[in-house]
Amino acid sequence: MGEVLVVTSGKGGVGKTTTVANLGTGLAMAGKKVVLVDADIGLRNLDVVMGLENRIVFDLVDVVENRCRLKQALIRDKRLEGLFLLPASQAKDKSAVKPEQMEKLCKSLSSDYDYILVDCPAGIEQGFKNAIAGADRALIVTTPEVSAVRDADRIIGLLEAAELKDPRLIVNRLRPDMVRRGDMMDVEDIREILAIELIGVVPDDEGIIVSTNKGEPIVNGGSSLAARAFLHISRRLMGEEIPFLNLDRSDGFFSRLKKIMGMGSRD
Amino acid sequence: MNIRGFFNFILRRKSSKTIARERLRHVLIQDRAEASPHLLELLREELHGVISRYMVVDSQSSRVFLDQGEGAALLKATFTVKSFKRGRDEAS
Repeated sequence: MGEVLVVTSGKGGVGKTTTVANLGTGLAMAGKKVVLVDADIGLRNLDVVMGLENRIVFDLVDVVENRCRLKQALIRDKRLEGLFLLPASQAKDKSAVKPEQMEKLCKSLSSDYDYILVDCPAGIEQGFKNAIAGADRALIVTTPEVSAVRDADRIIGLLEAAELKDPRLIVNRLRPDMVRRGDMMDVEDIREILAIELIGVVPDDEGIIVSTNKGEPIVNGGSSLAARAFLHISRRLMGEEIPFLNLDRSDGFFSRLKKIMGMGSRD
Repeated sequence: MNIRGFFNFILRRKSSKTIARERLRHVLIQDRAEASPHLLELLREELHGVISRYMVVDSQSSRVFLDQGEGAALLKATFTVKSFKRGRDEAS
């Protein structure tokens, strides 16, 4: 039986879709059978981030409404053998699917795949309820901003009420230089405020935009810190214990000395 | 503490990170209370029970709520005391 993971955040634009694309790719690179489910009906995007937008024939709503078989709607990734995408419908809206249907869908996928990653829409309405309906575990993505952390807290409350226990936190778009200057909350601040366990920290990286431009997840052949951070999270999902990356690249003697004197280099 | 931090300290200026953290803590206390008015009601009932062991208070007019404090949220509770339970010390 595969595991159904929902990636959620409350606030939009914090990197849910990018996270789903990269974690799914990372898991498939490790040889797992993975399917990515875009639950953002009406505003599909995971197909573009994965570079699979030209291959869509059927979508999630077609499957739910029995217009096609589940296998027909699954799109195989361009590079990785065991990676598939179930795209959202662009024409319909969130009310086209009911939580019970999502639950059934996730269940049937979990008999064929090791990991089912559900990309949850922003917000706390119907789309959110659908996305979490079939999930075994939840990953919460946030950025080091007051509004994003506030929404993450609300989501944690709602997940608790839905009895999805023990969600894990991903802090995305961290800027170590700003943290050092005292102009950004650090990971420990956020983790302490939200009181949930951390599964990874992803630094802000221009490479993400470049990879999204091309429709190729950054973990695919990338050696940047963001790529490594995503790969590490996917390995932690598989149960490996991996120490957190040191995002502060300047840890030699002189840079540490500079840091103490407040002249730390910006990276 | 770096030089910037030192100057901030001397000038008693908060870093924007500290401001963010304080604002977030504050807003979350209110969000969490708002998300479950049930919780405050439960607290009111329990407080009423505890206070009633020591004095006679009016259940109708009692209130438990969150208020804005300086840099933190304040939990405020008001109970109208009707009378004290005399001889409580001896009885227990």
